[in-house]
Amino acid sequence: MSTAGSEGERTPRDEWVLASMARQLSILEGFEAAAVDQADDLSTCLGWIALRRQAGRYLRSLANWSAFGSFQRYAEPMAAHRSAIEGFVVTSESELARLDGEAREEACRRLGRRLAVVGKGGAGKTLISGTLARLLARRGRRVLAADLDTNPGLTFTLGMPDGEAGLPLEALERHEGAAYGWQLASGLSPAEAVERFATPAPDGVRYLGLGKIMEPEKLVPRRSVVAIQQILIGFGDPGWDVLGDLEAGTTTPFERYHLFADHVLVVVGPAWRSALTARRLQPLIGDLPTTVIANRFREEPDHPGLHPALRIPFDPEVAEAERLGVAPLDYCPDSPAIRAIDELAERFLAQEVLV
Amino acid sequence: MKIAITGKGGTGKTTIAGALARHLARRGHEVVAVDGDPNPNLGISLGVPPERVETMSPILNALLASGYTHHDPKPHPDELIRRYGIEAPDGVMLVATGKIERPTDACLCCGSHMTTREFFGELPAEDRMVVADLEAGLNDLIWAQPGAEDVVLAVAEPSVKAIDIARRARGIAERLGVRSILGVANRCAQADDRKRLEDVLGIEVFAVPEDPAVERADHLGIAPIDADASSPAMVAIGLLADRLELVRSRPERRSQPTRTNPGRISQALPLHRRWIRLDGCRRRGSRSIRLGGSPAALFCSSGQPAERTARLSTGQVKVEPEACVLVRPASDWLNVPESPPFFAPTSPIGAPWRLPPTLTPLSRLFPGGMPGLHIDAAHIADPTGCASNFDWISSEQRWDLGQCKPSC
Repeated sequence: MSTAGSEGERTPRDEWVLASMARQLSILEGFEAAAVDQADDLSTCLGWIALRRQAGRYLRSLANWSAFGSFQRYAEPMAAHRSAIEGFVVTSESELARLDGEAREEACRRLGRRLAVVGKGGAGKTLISGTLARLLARRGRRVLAADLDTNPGLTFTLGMPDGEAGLPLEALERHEGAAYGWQLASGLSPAEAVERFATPAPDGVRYLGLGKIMEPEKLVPRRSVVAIQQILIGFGDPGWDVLGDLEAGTTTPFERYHLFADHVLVVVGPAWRSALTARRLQPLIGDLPTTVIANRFREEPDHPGLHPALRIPFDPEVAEAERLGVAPLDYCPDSPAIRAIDELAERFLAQEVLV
Repeated sequence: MKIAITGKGGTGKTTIAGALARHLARRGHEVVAVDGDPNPNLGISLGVPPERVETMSPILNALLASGYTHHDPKPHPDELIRRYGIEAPDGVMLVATGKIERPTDACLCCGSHMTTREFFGELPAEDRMVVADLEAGLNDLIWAQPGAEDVVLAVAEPSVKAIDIARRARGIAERLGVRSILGVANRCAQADDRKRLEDVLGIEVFAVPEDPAVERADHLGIAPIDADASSPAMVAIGLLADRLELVRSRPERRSQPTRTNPGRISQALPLHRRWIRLDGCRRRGSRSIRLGGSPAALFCSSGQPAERTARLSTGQVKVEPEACVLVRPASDWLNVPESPPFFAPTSPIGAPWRLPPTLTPLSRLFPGGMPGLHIDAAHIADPTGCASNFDWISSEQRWDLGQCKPSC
C-alpha cells in the first residue's frame, strides 16, 4: 500500500481523479466548440445552455469530492480544475446574455429534461420512470432511460426484454483507481457510448442499465456502475431527456447517483415508512429542485408535511401488469395510474427549466 | 439461529421481519432484531413508536460520534447490542447497524465500515433468534455473509420483478453456502401466487396473504401485529415462526433446505413445545396430533365431503385415550362455508399460549368411534394459496388416526 497523504506519491485513485478531471475538461471543450459552431440563434442558445448545465454538474460533483478528507492530496489540481470549469460558466452565461430572449425561451422549452427518480422500495419509481420515458418519447422527445438499480426492473416498465447484461466489455476498461476497478473506455465519449451502447426500447426510448447481481462477486454491475455514471453525467446533449431510476432507499442517493439530474422526483407510497424515507432523502438530494409524487394511494390522506405535486392512484390493472411482467403502458394504457403519469409528462414539459 | 430477510424493495421484508421477531419472542425465544438497512424502519414494524425509531442511535453512527475509527478494535457484537440496542414490545431487542443522514457521512457506505457490515455474521446466535432485515436488493445479503447454519428468507410479492430478485437471492445464498433458504410469497391474492414463486425458486415457499389490515397499519406507522394480531398476514407469519422453529430444532435437517418429506419431519422431531407431530403416538397408549403452535387457519376433514370440512384453526389437536382437542379460532379470511366445527375454539388469537380451560373429549365429538382424521390439501378451501403453507406438513399424504397403533 502506498502511504496515502504523503506528498509526491500518487495512488491509483489519485491517477483516476486526475484523469477524470482531464476527461471532464475535454468534454466541456467539446460542448463549447459545438456551441460556437451553431448557425442559428436557437441552436447556439441550446449549445451554450448545454455547456452551462454540463459545467454545473461537474461543479456539483467536485463539491462532493472535496467533502472527503482523502481529496486533500490533490487540492491544488482540483482548485485549478474548478476555476477552469467556472471559466466555462462565465463564458456560457455571457454568451447567453447576448442572445435574443425569444430564442432563449424557445431553447428552454426544447432543452432536454434530466430527471432522477428516488424513493423507498416499492413506491413506484420504476413504474414512473419507464412509463414517463415512453410517454415523453411519444411526444417526440428523444429519451435516454437508465436503470441505476442492481435489481433492475426498468426493462419491464419500458416493455423490453429483461436487462441482465450491463455495458458490453468494449465500452469499458479496467482502472485500478476507479471505484470497483472499471470505468468507461478512455477513447469513448459519453455521446458515442449512448449512440453505440444504449439499447433501443419501445417508442424510440434508448436504455442503459447496470445489469444484475447474479452472484456474490457482483461482476456485471461492478463493471458497469462507474461507466454508466460517467455516461449519464457527461451526456449533456441538449436534445435529449435523461431519466435515471435509482435503487430503493437512501444508499444510492447518498452515493450521488443522481448527480446527472437537474430535477429529482421523490416517489412516496401510502406507508408511513415511505414518508420517512422521503424525509431522509431530502438532505441527500441537496439543493436540486424536487417534486414529490404520491403513488398507490387509495383513500389515505397525504403524509403530513409532504405535499405531492401529483397523485397517482392505486391501480389494480398496474398491479396485474406487474404480476404478469408486462409493461403497464402496454397492458393498461388507459388505466387511471397511466393517465396520471401522462399528466406528469405533460406538466414536466410545460414547466420552466432552471438554466 | 440467524434469519436474514432479503428481497426487492417494498415487498414486505420489514413487515415480515417485525412480525416474525415478535412471534418468535412470544414463543419464548430471546430475539435480537437487526435493522441492516441504512434507511432503517424495522422499529416501526416491531411496535416501537416512530419518533423513537427516528431518534435511536444506529451502531455505526453512535460509534463514529464517539470518535471511533475503523483502525480501532471492533467491539464485540453483544457489547454493541448492550450499548445501542433498544427494547421493543415482547422483549425483542432492536439494533440498527447504520443510518445515512447526511451526504457527508463518509464512512457509512464505503467498505470500511466492516463493524456493521459484518455485524450479522459475527453475532453469536446459539441461544437466541436473530432476525435481520436487510436493505432492499441483494447487496446487503452479500455483505451480511449468511453461512451454512443461517436461514435466508427470500421475500417476493407476486410481481415478475420481485420474483426475479428472489430467484437471484436464492442463487446468491446458495453460493454463500446457506443451507436453509425459504421463499416467502407475500401479498398473495390469487390462488397460484405462491406456486408461481415456488416454480421459479424450486424450494419451499411460504405464503403470506394480502392484508388490508397491514396496509392500514403501515399507513399509520404502527406495527401490524399490534394493530391486529389476528389479521391474515400476521397469522401466516406466526406459522412462519413455527416453521422456522423446526429448522432450529432439527439441525440435521438443515442440509435439506428443499421441500421436506412430511413423514420424516414427524418421525425425527424432538419433543418440543410446539413441534409438529402428525403421526403422534409418542407414549404408549397415547395418540396425539399437534398442528403447529400458533393461531392459524387450517382445515381438517374427517373423511367427510369437502362441504362438511370443519375449520380447525390450529393450536393443537390432541387425540389421546382421553382425547381432547385444543383449537384457537381462525380469523375468517379464508371464507370457507360454515359448517359445524368439531373442534371447539378455546383461547383468543394472540393470547399467550396456555392450556385451554376446557378440553373437549373426542369421544363426545365422535360418539360413534374415532373417525379417520385427514389433513388433505384437496379439502382445503384456499383462495389465496396460503393453505399450501401446510405443504411442509403434507400435500398429498394424509394422516389417518385409524392407522395409528397405540404401541408406536
